[in-house]
Order: sequence, then structure tokens, then C-alpha cells
Amino acid sequence: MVTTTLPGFSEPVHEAQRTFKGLLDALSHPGQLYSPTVKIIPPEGLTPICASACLTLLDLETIVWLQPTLPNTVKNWLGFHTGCQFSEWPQDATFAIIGDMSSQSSLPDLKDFNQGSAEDPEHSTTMLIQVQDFTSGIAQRLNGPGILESIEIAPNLPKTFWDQWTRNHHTYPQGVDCFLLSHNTVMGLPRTAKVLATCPQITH
Amino acid sequence: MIVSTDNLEPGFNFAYLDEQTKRSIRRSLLKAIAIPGHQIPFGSREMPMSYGWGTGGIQLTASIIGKNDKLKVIDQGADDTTNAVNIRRFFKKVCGVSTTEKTAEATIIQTRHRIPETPLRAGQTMVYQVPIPEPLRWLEPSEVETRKMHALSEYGAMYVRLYEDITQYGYIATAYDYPVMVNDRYMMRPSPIPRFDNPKLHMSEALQIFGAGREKRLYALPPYTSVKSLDFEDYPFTIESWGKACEFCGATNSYLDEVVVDNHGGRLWICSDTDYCSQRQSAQRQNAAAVSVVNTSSVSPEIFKNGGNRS
Repeated sequence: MVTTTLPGFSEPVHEAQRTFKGLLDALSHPGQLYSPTVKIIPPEGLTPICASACLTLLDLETIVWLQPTLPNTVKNWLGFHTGCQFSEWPQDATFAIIGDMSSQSSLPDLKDFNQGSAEDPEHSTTMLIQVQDFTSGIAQRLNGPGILESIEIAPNLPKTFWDQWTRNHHTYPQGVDCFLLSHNTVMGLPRTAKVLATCPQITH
Repeated sequence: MIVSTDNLEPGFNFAYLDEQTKRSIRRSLLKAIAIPGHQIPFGSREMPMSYGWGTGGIQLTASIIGKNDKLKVIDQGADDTTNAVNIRRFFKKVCGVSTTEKTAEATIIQTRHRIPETPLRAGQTMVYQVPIPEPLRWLEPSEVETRKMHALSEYGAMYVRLYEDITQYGYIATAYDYPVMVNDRYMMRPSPIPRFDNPKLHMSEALQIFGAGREKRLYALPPYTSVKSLDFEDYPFTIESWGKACEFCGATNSYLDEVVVDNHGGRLWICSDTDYCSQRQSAQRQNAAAVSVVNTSSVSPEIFKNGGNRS
């Protein structure tokens, strides 16, 4: 293992707070976009906002599952800056980091990650999923807590994700929660977010 | 905004808690939002004040607060009581944040047992200090059992308790800490707010988070979440009414505190929300001043003369 030479946050306390506020807002307003301003040089394989989220949430108490296609730089960087543990088993993970949803062969089903138990649904995995953008995917209409009436979103995610998401929602209160992270923007997708309908493809 | 660091107490991390503790509370908070109303254990730390003084709320505030936030702290609706003043001073000392008494200006409102009368807006965060988070605690003393009851949505016992109220008193007599169902799934204790405030929890625009320091539990209500106070079809949920108006501002739609003023049973009613009351009073003073200006300018000379003749 090679120790990373890249720095973490330049202002650890305030940048972690700003990033967390962004994540908190994103999860409490599913489908809306938040871009906390943080200066960070991410390792190869992570976007700046995903790297900030990792530094904000991970530490020696967390077990991380990394998508096998992510380069080793990610593991080295996370290990050095957060001291988190790693596991190859999705079932163990408190956090899962997914670099690319399109390489399906390296991705387990959402239900293979920790779902939490009936008494402790909060033990489930939190997924950090990097996406290209929030406009070019299949449009979905969501509702649920945090959403006034409904909201339409179109993050760049494969159709299989939404099939798995519907099943994930049906196991409520168990199930995983997702953060979708582009270059510097985050969208929250808690397990309460219900897909109402897959909207017809929007033509621009 | 420039934050003055002159008054910051040296030797502490920003917001008192160490970063490791903040991270663990932050992770629990995110899960709490994903499962509205579900209580989540967290590693509650010792704070420089005793349990029962809002250590749960303080730890949540410390985990979310940033240097540009504006903090308001209320205790039973009042900004100027010991608990509120001290918590406000604590955060000024360890964060250097600015504080306010105006509900509309605040980004974070930490509260003990009231929700402000001024409607909350999107972007604000309410932090509740919670003594006992478990709604079923007085019905089932075992934590092992209550956790199972939540897992199975086994809430019949609470309805029986409310029913017993009706058979004994003819109405549901629970006045505060009135149990609610969140998102049609979890039963939640709204902290000891009067049931007058329960309707404000429903579909609130603000994020609401609840912290119990001694019991080491936190839970949350994301904005726009359904919160239903328990009731029966033939005994619907009602809020308190007084048939009185606030002695100072005349409000009839706010939560009123009864104050005994002498030894002869004399009493009066005043708003419990001091910010709401003082804003109404200053608005009335301004209106009165404006009206008197209008009156003097619109008085015609004849009337003025007649008025003069009368004396």
C-alpha cells in the first residue's frame, strides 16, 4: 500500500461542517441539488464532492465497501485520511462507494448491502454513488417525506437501479439510503423516497 | 459575514465537541432523517452542564452549527430564561456565532418545550431538547420490549391509555408530550411541547431534530412529513383554548401562560412566546403612533375649535 501524497481538507472543521450541511439538506429534501463549497484535491477515481463526503462521514468506526473498479488511489487516500476499515462484503458495509454505476458486473444488487434489522433499521449501508449528471437519465417522479407533493428527477442511472430502488422502498423501514454525487453537487435519496412513475423521456 | 474570534474561549474545538464525536452524531442524524420518527442511539458525551439542561439538544446543535449560522434558544417559549440565556452564551463562547431572539432571523432554533408561534420557514432547523424519547416508556418499562413494539408497529397500548382518559375524564386529558404517528409508521414523542403545538409539527417547512442526552437517543422529522396526533374518530384531537387574550399584546391565537399576580386569586394570561408577543406589541405601538399622526393631521380646524370651546 502506497501512502497518498494528496492533502485532505484545508480547514477540516469548517469544510466538514459545510459538507455535512449539504448532505443533511440533500437527504432532508430528496431530489433537490446542493453544492457545498469546499476546496479539495480528490484522489483519482473520486469527484471533489464525493471525496468531501468521505472525509466528513468516515472514520475508524466505519466499514467501507469500495466498488472493485475504483483505482487503488482511493483506498490509499481514504485509509490515510480517515482511518476507516475496508471490507469486500457488501453485507458488512456501513458505507459503500460506487464510482461508476454503468459497470454492472462489478456491482451487487442494492439488497445485497446491509439492510439493517427490523429493530435497528439504521444499521443499513449508506451508498455514495457517483453520477455523471442529474439531467440525462431516466426521469422519475418521487414523493415522500421531505418532498412537497412530488418532484421530478433524472440522474444518470441505469434502469436496473430504479427497479432495485422500488424494491428497496418496499422493505421500509429497512433498506439502504443513497447520496448521488456528481462533480460538485449532491442529491439525497433516502429509503423513504417513493418512485411514483417513470416519466416519459424528456426531449430538450 | 465576518465572525469575531475575540470572544472565543481558547482551548476548545469549534462548537465544543471533538470532530470524532461530531462525525458519529452526524452519521446518526442522516439515518434519523431517512427513518422519520425512529429513535437512533448515539454516543452522547458529557457536556459542561448537567443532564436535564438540554445536553441532547446542545450536542445536536454543536454537530450541525457553522460559523455563519444564527442561533436562537428558547425555554418554554421565552428567550430570556436561565436555560436559554446560558445555552446561547455557551455557543457564543465556543463558536463565536451570532445569536438572535427573532424567530424569522434564526437559522437554528434550539428549544425546550415550545414551537415558536411565528411559522417556521424552509432552511431553518429546529433542535428539540428531549427528556424521555420513548413514547411507550410509561406503558412498558423494558427497552428490549419497546424496541420490539416499534419494530412490529405494536402501538395498541397507547390507544388504550388514551381510551382510559376518555372513560375517566370524558376527554383525552394528555396536555403535553402528546404522542404522534410519523409518516404512518413510527410512534414518536414530540418532547414535552404542549399539545397546542402538535399541529405545527405536521408538514413543517423546517427540518426538526430531537436529542435526548441522558437517554442517548436522537430522532428527526424531515420537512413536509406527515405527523398525526393520535385520536379516535368520535374523539378527534383538539388543542387547548383559553377564552382569554394576552394581557400585553391581546393575542388570542397564541399559547397563553397563566400568571398569578397577587394573594387574592388575581391572575392574568400572557403569551408564552416572548418574541411573538414583543413583536406584536411593537407593531401595535407603531400603528398607534401612525394613527395618532393621521388623527392630528386630519382634524379639521372647526372640530378643533369646537373641541377648544368645550373646555
